[in-house]
Amino acid sequence: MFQVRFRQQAGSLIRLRYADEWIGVLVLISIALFVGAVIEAGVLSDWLSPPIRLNVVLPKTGVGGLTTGADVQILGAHAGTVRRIKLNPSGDMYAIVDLDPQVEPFIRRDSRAVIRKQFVVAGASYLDLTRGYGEPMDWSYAVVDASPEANPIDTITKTFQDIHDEILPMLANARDLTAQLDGMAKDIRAGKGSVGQILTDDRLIRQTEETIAGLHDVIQRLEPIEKQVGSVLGKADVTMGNMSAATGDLRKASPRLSSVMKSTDESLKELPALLTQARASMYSLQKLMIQLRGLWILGGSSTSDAGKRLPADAVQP
Amino acid sequence: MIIDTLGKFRVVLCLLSLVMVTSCGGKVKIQETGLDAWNQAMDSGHDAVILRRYSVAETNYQEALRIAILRNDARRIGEAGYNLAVVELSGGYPDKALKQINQTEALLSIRSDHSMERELGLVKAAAFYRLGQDQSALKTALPFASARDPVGQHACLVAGLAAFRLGDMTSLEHVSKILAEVKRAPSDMLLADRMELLALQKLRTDAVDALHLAERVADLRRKYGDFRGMERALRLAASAADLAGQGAMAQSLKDQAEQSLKADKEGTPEAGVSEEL
Repeated sequence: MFQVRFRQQAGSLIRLRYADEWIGVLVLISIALFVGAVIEAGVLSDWLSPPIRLNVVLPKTGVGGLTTGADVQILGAHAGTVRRIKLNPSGDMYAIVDLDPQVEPFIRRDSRAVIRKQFVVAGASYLDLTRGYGEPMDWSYAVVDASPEANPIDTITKTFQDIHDEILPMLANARDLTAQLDGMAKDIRAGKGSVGQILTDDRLIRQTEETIAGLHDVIQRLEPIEKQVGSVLGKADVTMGNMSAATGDLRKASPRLSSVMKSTDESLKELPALLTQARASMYSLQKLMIQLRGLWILGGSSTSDAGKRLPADAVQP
Repeated sequence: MIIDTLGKFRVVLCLLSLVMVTSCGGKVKIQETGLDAWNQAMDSGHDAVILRRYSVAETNYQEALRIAILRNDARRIGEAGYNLAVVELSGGYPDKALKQINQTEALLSIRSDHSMERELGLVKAAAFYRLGQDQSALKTALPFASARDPVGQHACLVAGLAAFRLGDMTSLEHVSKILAEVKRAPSDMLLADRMELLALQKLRTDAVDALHLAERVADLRRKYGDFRGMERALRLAASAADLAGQGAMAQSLKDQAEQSLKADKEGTPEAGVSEEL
């Protein structure tokens, strides 16, 4: 009994003797786990690589709900935070933004910032930076301009206003047109104008009846003339027959016509040669006459061979 | 016997006459072949000039020039080119004439022929004068002005006219003196040239004498069919009459000149023009 109790007391004493060591091991394991978690979370890298700073000039019309701590995005991804919004003495506002150093290559001189709402028309405002493709940014003084996103409600309101402006004159015109049509109908009913007279006055119908009766008389008188026209047409028919016969004769003569034309053509072909010959003969005759005139026996004198140039007197200043 | 002798004498006389006729009828010339077309074009052009049909003459001389170039005949190129320029000038186209002269000079230059230099220079000077380029006209005409041949004598007239318009009385007197040096009996046209230059000289000093001279010049020009020269003389006479204080006469002479010029521009072919052209 005593021995059993002794064994139980000795076991508990052994456990108490190594308790401090076990606690120390546990603390060390906890510290190691904490350090690993910190490294894994990248807190150290954040501490070691400070954010880059960008100044965003805000629009003069207002900041559009942008506040300190607002999100900054680029290409739809989180890129930084608005640290401060400042107002300078000239009245311009600008926001100081801390950006993740990773986005540095995407921000260039032609980058722009747009102030957007998270849910288009509602929600927190954030700054959306556009990707730049121009020259690299001078990060010692990095500035981009911001503009507010167009409010869709404004656009819808303007569209409604435009529709309103267009429809009102149309309605006014339609009202005028209806009034004019009403007036015209009243005038016609009152017998004013040509159409009104036709509807209300039966004189025109009587005149039409008289005209038709006159036409009937004319047709009756034309009946004898029609007979004469018939005889004239008969004579014309005979004439056409004669013409047809004449054409037939001409057709018969046409083969001879071609031979006549051929002969004429051949004669004409000889004409240029004949003309040249005649010209040459005339020229020979002229030379002969000049020579004859030069004969001393006919009272002429010898001509000098001074060329054929025109005399100097022919030059008329 | 006597009858036989007379018969023989008659036969011999007839034969002798025949020999004389054939021998004196003209010399036999060895013509160059292929020249008939050129001769014919030149003669036709000349006939057209006599009838004052300058466009017809121009066509003929162009054909003659073409044939001469075809023959590569420098002398005939010069003659045809010269005639062509003269008719263009007479037809009222001094700019065309100037161009033609330059072309002819170029054609002759590459053939090293300078025989027509004076004639072409005369036409060039006249064209310059007609275009109102008096300085060029005087400069071109003055080197050719001489009393030895008609070209030189006519160059005196052109130079004198240009000098008068430039107010260069020294040059006018110089060419007038050259014309006065012609020794042989002057033709009427030469006489007219002399008197015209004299009238120009006297215009400022003795207007009445200038008027008489100009009127005589106009008559001579009319007689020999130089209507442009006549119109020029009438204008000179009008200026002289104006300076002499005869306003009505001046106006009348001016009107006559205007009418003549208008008729010339209308291009009415005139018949009966002297063959001295």
